[in-house]
Amino acid sequence: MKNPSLRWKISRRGFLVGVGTTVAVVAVGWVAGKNSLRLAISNMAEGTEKAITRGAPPATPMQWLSISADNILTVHVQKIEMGQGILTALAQIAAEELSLPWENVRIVMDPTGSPVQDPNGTGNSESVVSHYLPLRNAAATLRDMLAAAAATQLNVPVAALKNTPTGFVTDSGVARTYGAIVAAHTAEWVVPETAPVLKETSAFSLIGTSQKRLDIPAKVTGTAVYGHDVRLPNMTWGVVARPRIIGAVIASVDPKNAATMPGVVAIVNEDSFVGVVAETKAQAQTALLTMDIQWKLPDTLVTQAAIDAATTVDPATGVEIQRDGDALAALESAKTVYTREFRTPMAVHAHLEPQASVVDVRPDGVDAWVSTQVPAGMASAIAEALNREAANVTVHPVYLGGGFGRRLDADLGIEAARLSAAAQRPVAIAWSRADEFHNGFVRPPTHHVMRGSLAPDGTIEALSHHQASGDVLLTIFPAAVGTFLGWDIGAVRGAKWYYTANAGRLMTAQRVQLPIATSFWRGLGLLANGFAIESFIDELAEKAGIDPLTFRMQNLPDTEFGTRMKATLNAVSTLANWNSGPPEGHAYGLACSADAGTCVAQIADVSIVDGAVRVHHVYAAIDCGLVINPDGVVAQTEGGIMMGVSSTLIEALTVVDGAFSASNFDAYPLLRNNQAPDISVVIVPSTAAPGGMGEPPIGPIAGAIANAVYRLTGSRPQTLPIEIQAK
Amino acid sequence: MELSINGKLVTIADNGDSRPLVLVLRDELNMTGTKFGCGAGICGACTVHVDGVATRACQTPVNQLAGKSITTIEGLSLADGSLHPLQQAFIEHQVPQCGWCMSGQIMTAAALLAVNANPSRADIVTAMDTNYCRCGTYHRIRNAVAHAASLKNPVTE
Repeated sequence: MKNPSLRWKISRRGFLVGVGTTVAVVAVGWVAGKNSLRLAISNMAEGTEKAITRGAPPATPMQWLSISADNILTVHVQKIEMGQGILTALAQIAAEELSLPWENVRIVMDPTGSPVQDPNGTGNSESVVSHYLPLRNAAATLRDMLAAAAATQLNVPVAALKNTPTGFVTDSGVARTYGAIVAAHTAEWVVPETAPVLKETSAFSLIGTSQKRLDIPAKVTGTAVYGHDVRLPNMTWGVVARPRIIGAVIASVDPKNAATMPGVVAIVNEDSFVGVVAETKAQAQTALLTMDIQWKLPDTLVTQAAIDAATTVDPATGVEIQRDGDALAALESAKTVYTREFRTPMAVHAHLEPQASVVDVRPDGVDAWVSTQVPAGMASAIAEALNREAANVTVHPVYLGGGFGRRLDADLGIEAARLSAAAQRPVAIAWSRADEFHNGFVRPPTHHVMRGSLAPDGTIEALSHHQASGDVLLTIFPAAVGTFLGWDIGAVRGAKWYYTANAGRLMTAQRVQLPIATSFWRGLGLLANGFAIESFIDELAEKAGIDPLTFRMQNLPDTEFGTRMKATLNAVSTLANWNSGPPEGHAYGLACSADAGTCVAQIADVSIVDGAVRVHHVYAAIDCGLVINPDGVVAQTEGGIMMGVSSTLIEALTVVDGAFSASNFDAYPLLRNNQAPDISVVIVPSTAAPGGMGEPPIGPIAGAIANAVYRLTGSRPQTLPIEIQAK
Repeated sequence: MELSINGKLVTIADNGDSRPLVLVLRDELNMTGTKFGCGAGICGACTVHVDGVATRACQTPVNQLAGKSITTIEGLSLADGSLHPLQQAFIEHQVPQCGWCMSGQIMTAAALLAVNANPSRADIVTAMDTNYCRCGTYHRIRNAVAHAASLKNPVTE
């Protein structure tokens, strides 16, 4: 797919970027010793000085930005819209330096092989973080190039041109739109040798405004195209044999008469991969069911008891991720040590659009439409599977019907590619809900052992957090990485202590290798760690006899982070009238967390209705640094809270008879409208750089609800989902 | 056999089978505005109207639909092509995130407003309780449906 408006003749010099855009190079000496290296990598992953520009910046602004003769700016990105509003936010950032009216702005998700190169995919709450300065620099550079071209065309010095919302005007009032300048420019575009001057933030007219989402009109009329919706001429349907028992592999296949059944186009039976291609989905399914497929079960069936037993903290084997002072010695000598354990279960993403891919393998090239957060990685994976050059494969981005970390596996595209290669026609694979439950991957279970002691004045003296978790991030690395590290960066998102720089603090992470597929889920370890830490801090506040809000304020450090978090806590306290408290018969629970450069604090208004936890209202304050689109921030906060309420009250996946316990939502319900709280959000004014938004709001919610439940029942919830124990 | 979809008669293969409407719409007629979510009548993503009633297309065999009037999200816009008040309200309140459940949400809400022009908050929650939204837009859905009801029924005082 070409971009018709992208017809720039350009010099090949890369453009220079203005202040603050850096590619951090973290040198870690191997001689430093294994434990120090682990700590260094941990700091790199979570440190506030995290590198924000990843991947190569474009050689010219024109790789990201094009302007048509009718003055429409089109922004080209390879970030994937999955509901987080990223396309709108990036379009606002890009249009800002050109001062264009919002009606003149479009944005497209470009396919792989286009000038937009984005090897990183979409995730980790970092699309805005990673694009904020590079996009502004690209747009400002383009503005300067257009000014130079206009000056030539109008035969005036650049200094005589004034920038307007649509182009430039000379001292004598001659106006040229950007589009007209582009249309009249026949020479090669020259990228300036100096970095552009960026707008002061006080001069922003688009950044910081709640522009309406560009993708929403198509989503209320049913015209938005998702992976499940791609239809090509001559397209066929593929189905793949998938095991129901965890760990089962194909032992033998008798295809019977499947190949001659109505509509069957091709059958693939190689390397433990069995799939059928037919004219319709039903024909493919019928043919697959006709085949006699024998599965070899694992020697020992996976059991929930074995998963729970493995996911249990052994303080001797955890790797130190955080060590300030000597927490263990302080706990050893403390008069009273408070201890509490927490567990969180496996969960699924339950994105409502199941996985889907359409791949067309032809001798001259491969086109693929895949529900993926990582188009570039998907192109490489398909190319490798087909033994072709990566440049031979084009992955076309599609809207995702939810992502939440699930759209990262390569098998999705590879399966359709293998079937298409055999059928020599385009093949669509659309997963069923049962496929999702049994053959996806899950949020890993966790176990947390928290210990703490208090000084006589009620402040925290020492804290330790021993965590055991199934793998998150390590599942995408070669096995040697996990063996060397011994802990998982993803599992410890939000696991370090952020309270009190004065106390001894210890956090250890214990890697649990489970016989089930575990990996990314919104926020990675954040929900589980927030539940454990914020529940335990609430318990310490109670033991100290101090109000939970005051206790948090007293024990947050006087650092920039601590100052931001205290302001966030103050804001949520005002929003919810913390001091006045909740309605009669309800309880408030408070929690906060920090993630991806964003501070979040939440108060849950909870009561017990008919023996079940009812969350009536959630109040949230958020400091995500500089805000691109305030309503987008509110929407992501609401979404993170709702997903977290669902996890806190309802969701758990278990293993029964060697298989996951659910095949559909009857056995694994999600939060429904009548269980969904009202939500109020306040954005805390901040001078910090833009932080992440897709995941941070899910951090505090389980703790906030659990702390309210404790006030109502006198029993502190220690597992998710929360089950009520009578007072 | 013939189906009446969005006011037009459409011919589909009569295989004598009971294939579900959602697959006929999506895979045979390429009308992909109606979404597939669970295939079990639980999530509501495939909600369409059959004779004006919100109906799960994944649980509705096409051989039961002869002579009935089917409306999908593609047919919800008004005759002059303008957006249905619910579509306007869902844009105004910026409801969709990923958007996959939205056709079903809007069709469920449209069936409610057709029989209850002035729904109470409780009426809205009860009606919309049949539809999952994994992105968690429930709170905005409630506000948008209430707003759409007010658009449909301009207050005349």
